[in-house]
Amino acid sequence: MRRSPTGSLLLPLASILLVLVVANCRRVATEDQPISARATTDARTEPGHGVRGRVTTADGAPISTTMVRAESLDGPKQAIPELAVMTGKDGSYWWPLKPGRYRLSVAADGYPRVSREIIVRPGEVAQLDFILKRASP
Amino acid sequence: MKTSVSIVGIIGLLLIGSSPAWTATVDPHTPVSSDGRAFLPVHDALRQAPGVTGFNGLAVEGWADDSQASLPASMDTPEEYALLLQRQPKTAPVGIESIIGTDIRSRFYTIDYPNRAVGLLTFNQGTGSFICTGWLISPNTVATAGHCVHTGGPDGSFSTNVVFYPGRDGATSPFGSCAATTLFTVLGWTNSSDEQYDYGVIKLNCNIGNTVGWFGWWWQSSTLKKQHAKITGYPGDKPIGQQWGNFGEIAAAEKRQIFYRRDTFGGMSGSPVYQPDREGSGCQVTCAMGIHAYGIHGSGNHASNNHGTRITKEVHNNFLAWIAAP
Repeated sequence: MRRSPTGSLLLPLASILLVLVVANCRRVATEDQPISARATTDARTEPGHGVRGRVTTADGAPISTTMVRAESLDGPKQAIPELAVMTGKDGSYWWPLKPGRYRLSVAADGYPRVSREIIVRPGEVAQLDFILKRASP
Repeated sequence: MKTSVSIVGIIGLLLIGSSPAWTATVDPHTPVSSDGRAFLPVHDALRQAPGVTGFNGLAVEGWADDSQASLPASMDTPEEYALLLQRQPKTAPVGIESIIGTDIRSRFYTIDYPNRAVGLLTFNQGTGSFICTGWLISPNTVATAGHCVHTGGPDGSFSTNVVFYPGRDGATSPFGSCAATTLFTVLGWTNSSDEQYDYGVIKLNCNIGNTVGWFGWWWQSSTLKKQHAKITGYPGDKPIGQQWGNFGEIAAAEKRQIFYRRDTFGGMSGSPVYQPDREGSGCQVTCAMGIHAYGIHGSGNHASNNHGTRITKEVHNNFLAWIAAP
């Protein structure tokens, strides 16, 4: 007895139908998930990449409430969010920067501007401290 | 024949199973909150509206009123403000990303609407201290950039110790200050730190907007190019707490971002990009079209313009949902 062409296609068609059903189940499961998501990172720690450091005088005193500027040296330049990054009471700062090459600059009243280059690597937090010395009279 | 048809079926299985159409995709505008809450849908009539008109506040023009603040109006003592200014940078290096050509920013007085509805934001991220700008969109809701409320990306975290000083003017907080209770942004920012989704809001522990007023906003899918626009915020290259800004045109508009050659600076993240005198559907008078976020970088429009997140219909819907959130 000859098998009909329709019968020969039943297995692959059923397979395709099964895939469609399974995929829909996955999509429904996604839609059933809560529409809000939780932040899972401890807010007290820093995220995975950027630059941290301290700004101090030559004798180690912290320089607080001073802006640390970042400039991308990559070509094309990286996007830098226009936050104002300020040193804290202990002179420390944290710059959340994407991996790349940067020039960080610090200027404080009575001190010449100091700039230094740094490379931020994926998954790493670079350390960059600044020591500001008063301008020579 | 039977074997070859079965093989075709299996190949079809593999192709369909790997098709992007069947992988789980998540809307990048999906709201995310610092306390993990879900959101109730906003009434459809509001969602369909092209915008929301603002409110100019109950405070008499020219009169500082801190009655709705959680912390009262204050003025730093000369010693306190001197300490604050002690380490301020004198000048910013011209030509780094944000100042385009001649710096044409002007200092604004903050006692009147809408400038008093724009405020200084201070906060921490990790061990760092930051300043941004925010603007009220309801009595207790402040719009700002996403990176001011969350560091961005899957290993990121929400900001902490967030305080909003509406109408901050140098050493003076004429309308007091309010602390944040909850922060909101979207998955496009928290999952991918995608600048096209760099927006968020801060819920306050006070209804200071009843006093100082709040901004309206509108969205449209057609181009915003050549629309006049004002940007107002708190740049870090000026003494902390001074409100500065300027006025010009939108240079270019893409689907989710707007571009402008108005001068901006670190600290102005979150500033409203708005029209102070709009007459149109959805919003009249003080109406925002975007949220400033970045200086010059990358290529194309990004390489020659400062830019921010455009208020689209999705942003509009999220603003409404966040305003309605307790």
